[in-house]
Amino acid sequence: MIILAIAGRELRSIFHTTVGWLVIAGFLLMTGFFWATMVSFYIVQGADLLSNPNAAMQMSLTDHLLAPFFGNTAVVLLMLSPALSMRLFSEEIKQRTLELLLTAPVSTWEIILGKFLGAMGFVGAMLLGTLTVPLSLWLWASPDPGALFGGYLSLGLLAAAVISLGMLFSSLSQNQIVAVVLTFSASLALWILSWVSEDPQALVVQMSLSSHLQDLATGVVRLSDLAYFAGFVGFFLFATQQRVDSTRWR
Amino acid sequence: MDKLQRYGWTLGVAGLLGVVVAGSLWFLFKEATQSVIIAASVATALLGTWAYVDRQALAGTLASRGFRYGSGSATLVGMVGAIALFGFVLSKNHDHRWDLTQEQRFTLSEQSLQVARGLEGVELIAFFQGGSAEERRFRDLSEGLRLANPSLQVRVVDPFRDAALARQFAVTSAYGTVVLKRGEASQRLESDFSEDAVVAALIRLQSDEKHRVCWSTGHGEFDIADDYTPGGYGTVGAKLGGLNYAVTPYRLLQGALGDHCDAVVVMGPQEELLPVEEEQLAVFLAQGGRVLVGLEPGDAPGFSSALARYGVVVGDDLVLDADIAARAAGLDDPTALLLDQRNRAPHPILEAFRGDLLLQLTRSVSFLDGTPGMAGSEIVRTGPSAWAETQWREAAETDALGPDPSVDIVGDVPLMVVAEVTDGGALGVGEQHAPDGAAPAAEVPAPLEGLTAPLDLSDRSAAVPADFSPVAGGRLVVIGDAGFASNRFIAAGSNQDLFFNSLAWLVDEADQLGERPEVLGGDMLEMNILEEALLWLVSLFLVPGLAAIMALVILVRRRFQ
Repeated sequence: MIILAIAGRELRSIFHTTVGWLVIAGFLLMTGFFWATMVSFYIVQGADLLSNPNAAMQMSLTDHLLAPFFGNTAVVLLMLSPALSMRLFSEEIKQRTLELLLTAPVSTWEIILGKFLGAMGFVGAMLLGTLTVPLSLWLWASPDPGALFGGYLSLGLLAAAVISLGMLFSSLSQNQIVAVVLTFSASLALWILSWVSEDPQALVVQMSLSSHLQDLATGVVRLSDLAYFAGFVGFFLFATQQRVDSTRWR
Repeated sequence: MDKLQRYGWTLGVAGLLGVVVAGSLWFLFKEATQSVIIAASVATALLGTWAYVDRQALAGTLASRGFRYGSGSATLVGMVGAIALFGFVLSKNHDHRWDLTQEQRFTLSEQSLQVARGLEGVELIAFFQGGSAEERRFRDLSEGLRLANPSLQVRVVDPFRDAALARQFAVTSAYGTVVLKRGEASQRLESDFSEDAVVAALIRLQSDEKHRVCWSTGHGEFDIADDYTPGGYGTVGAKLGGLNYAVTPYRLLQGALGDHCDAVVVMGPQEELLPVEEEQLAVFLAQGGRVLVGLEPGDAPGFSSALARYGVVVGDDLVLDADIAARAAGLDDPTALLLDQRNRAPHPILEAFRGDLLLQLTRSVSFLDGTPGMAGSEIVRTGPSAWAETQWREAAETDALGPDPSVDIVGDVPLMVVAEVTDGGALGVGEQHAPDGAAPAAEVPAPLEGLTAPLDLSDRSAAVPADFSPVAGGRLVVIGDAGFASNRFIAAGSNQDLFFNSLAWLVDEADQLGERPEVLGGDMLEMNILEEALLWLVSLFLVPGLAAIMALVILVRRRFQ
């Protein structure tokens, strides 16, 4: 309950700022542009192939519209998520309110999870705005609900991973800029790590964020992908908890 | 010494950097090369020097409360990291995949698994650029095939990394190449690496013979080479070409079917077959040949009636269905028949797949028990709400028609017949078999160059070769719809399975009786210009605009507070 109260407070604090809404507007503008452009291109492609039923059969909403859309949205999310996590602890450290928070009758875990859920709630609100995607598809075609679910799940897991990583960096520095730069650099490095090796089973590829999102975006959920994200988020939240807790004895 | 103590920490930093460099080199080269050993030695020496120089400060730090708490905390973090890593490795080793897609497009079809199980001594060598989407999909596919048959050898090679092997197999395609080998035989894929294409190549590789399919032409039949128009059969033609079938357009007039064909397909003739051609088919069937016939309502009435000699009664009707469930499924047209498993009798052709069939513009086809020399059965029927409308030509609108039990077959209308020749001699080959009513007034075409056709094209006995020896074992499949596997309908339900299983049953290819992967794609997005403009408006202005307005409201409210 306390966790939810903290999450609600975090969420309200974001929605009560102009920046919060501008971030949502920017995110929706970018994803909306991607979507509208891709749909227009898909329609033109379909019209070109209309006279050739054999070639038209290659047209797939999942492969040619949904998967690329979720891929582009993931990159936008990768850039925006560090901005969401940067202030979670840096601000508290700078304003010296973290000590106050820690003296309140709440555990460090409740603070960590509350802030994490608050940030995830904001991401949820951003993704909610992209619901025009499935809605517009259902109006004019029959998209695969499994692929849509997989796509949104991949975005949620990516956001969770980047925010948990960002929370650790935010707890390490009172400077939000330092936190955002470190989070973005680390996330980007983890994203492009898969480019290092061409062997999909190589350790560097398995460490990469992007290699665990590819199947999800097409509607295939792998146990190993879920375990990767669960381990990733769990590890960074624990590391953040240890870092914040260290304030008590330092 | 003072200076050394003051700047001793730089030695520690340099030592740590050395450790990072040595670790990175080891990570890259995967072995302790000379450079790794040198970097590690230098780093150790630097760290040792720093520890000696800063020993007092280090001892103080090690004894501090912060270090004790901090090291405990770091150990805990390390342990949690190790647990997370262990969980991931465990899940990787016992990975499970949930295919959430509606069409189960990442799950191998039953037919693919069946083909994989029957493979022996097959090796797949795939050349894909590492990390490409094609490579990932092929790995998924081969993983599924290997699960079905662990003896299958699969190698995925990056042509850029193993250029020598790529050169050996003459890999030039930018999309990738898959070479399938079995002993000396090999198959090659260079653009399509779908489940369908790989399985077809495996079938070709495994099969020692190619089935010769003669596609009847010259009577307005569906065109096997037309992959462009909705009414063509080009998709089927391409798929058959990818399997172990050699399809040849064939004029029945040419005769000698037994010499050139293992199976004959007569799909949707609009004009009558010549008496000699009908007899060529009879000779073929009586000598153990296999024939697949598809007939559209109203077309080739003489040929349709002539099938009665095999016990196949093709109705001069149009099957209509008032099924409410089908209407609810979006089939507004009563000539469209949605047939599920309840509409099918047990037969190898149909038992191998579970999907629905979609037939449109269909006529009834039934089997007359007791026909001499033939044994057969009706294997596909409509539901009770359908009827075979005999007055369909008179009505302008099908909605105005209704079942009339006195002339129409009402309910459970038979649509497909399979029959086997039990005595070829009983088919009356060479005798005159004028159908009831007028005999077909077929025009006698000019003799074709190089044909062995008899000169008198109306003389049925002329079609009978001198060495004619009737046997049992001929097979005949007749369907009251010829367009069910055309380019337009091949992707509908399990229509492709009905066609390919019928042909597989005819040529005795038990391995190919199955449920194929769905023909995917064909997802069209049809919008008019206004709807597209609306989508742009909503995506680009309305939705982001609402968030921007909220930002403005908060800004204004704060200014005035």
